[in-house]
Amino acid sequence: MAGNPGTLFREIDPPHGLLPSVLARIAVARRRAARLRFAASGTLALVSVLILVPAVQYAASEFYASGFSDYASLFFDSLSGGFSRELLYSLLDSLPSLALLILASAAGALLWSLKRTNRDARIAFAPLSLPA
Amino acid sequence: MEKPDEELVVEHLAGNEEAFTLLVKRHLKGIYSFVARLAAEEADDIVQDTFLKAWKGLRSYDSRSAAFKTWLTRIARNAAIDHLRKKKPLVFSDFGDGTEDGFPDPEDSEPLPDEAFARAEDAQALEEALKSLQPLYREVILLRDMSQLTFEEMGAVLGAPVNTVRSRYRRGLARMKRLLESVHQKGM
Repeated sequence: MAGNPGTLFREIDPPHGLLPSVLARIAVARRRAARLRFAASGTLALVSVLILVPAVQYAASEFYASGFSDYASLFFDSLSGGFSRELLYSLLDSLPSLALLILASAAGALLWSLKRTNRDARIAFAPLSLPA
Repeated sequence: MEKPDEELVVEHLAGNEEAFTLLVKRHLKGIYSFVARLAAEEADDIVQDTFLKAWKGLRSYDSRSAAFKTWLTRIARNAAIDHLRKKKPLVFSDFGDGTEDGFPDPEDSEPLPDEAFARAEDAQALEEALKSLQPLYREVILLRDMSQLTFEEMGAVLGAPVNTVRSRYRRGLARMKRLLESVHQKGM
């Protein structure tokens, strides 16, 4: 008997309503989870927009203040007469890296959260399609 | 050809919700049969909880450590214990040394009770005998003789060493044999 399992008890057919009930509970849980994620990613998108506006202003002011555009113009003009390593270093040195980092982070967070928000919204607000 | 469970798990985690529906359909009958014999009155709720917990915890499933069926059966068993504890505290406290029902433990050399089972032509008698067993023994017999798990898989489900599971199974069969014999004697 011990070496021959599966001979004593046969499987029982579950009630007809059990499968739809299981799938319905999963569908409801899935929608609830999507709504929570939607709220989180929507909040992140909003915060990203709020950060993005001053980040753009800060980056623009830093560009003007750093003289980056002047160095860039000088660098590209000089290319016709030969490559200048010193001008390149000056150009890189004048790059407003902190402002760019903030701007890129805010833009990245906004894009990522919009993508998530869009995906979760489709699940969170779609009508439940329960099996018959 | 049918996709293996583990492949369906990967598909579900990649975003295919239909893959989990297939897993539910595939395992519903087996899990229901196991649960219904452990806790008949609450089987529907326990089965629903089982699949919901599996759905929520699927990311933690590691196909290298256990087959999906083993993992799912373990969830079902724990869900059944939770339900039974809520209903009647300490009902599973007899998951101890298994000597509470007064039957002596069988020797390892004792033959397995084929004869007694062969006599139990009536499936109803088997079901009644199973119901009379402590949950400790009932579950090992179901895992082995209905779910067709190996002793290693049963050990993973029960969280017990293989040798313990093996001896528990033998004791369970011996106790069932005595129960069936007493039923048979009463019927004569």
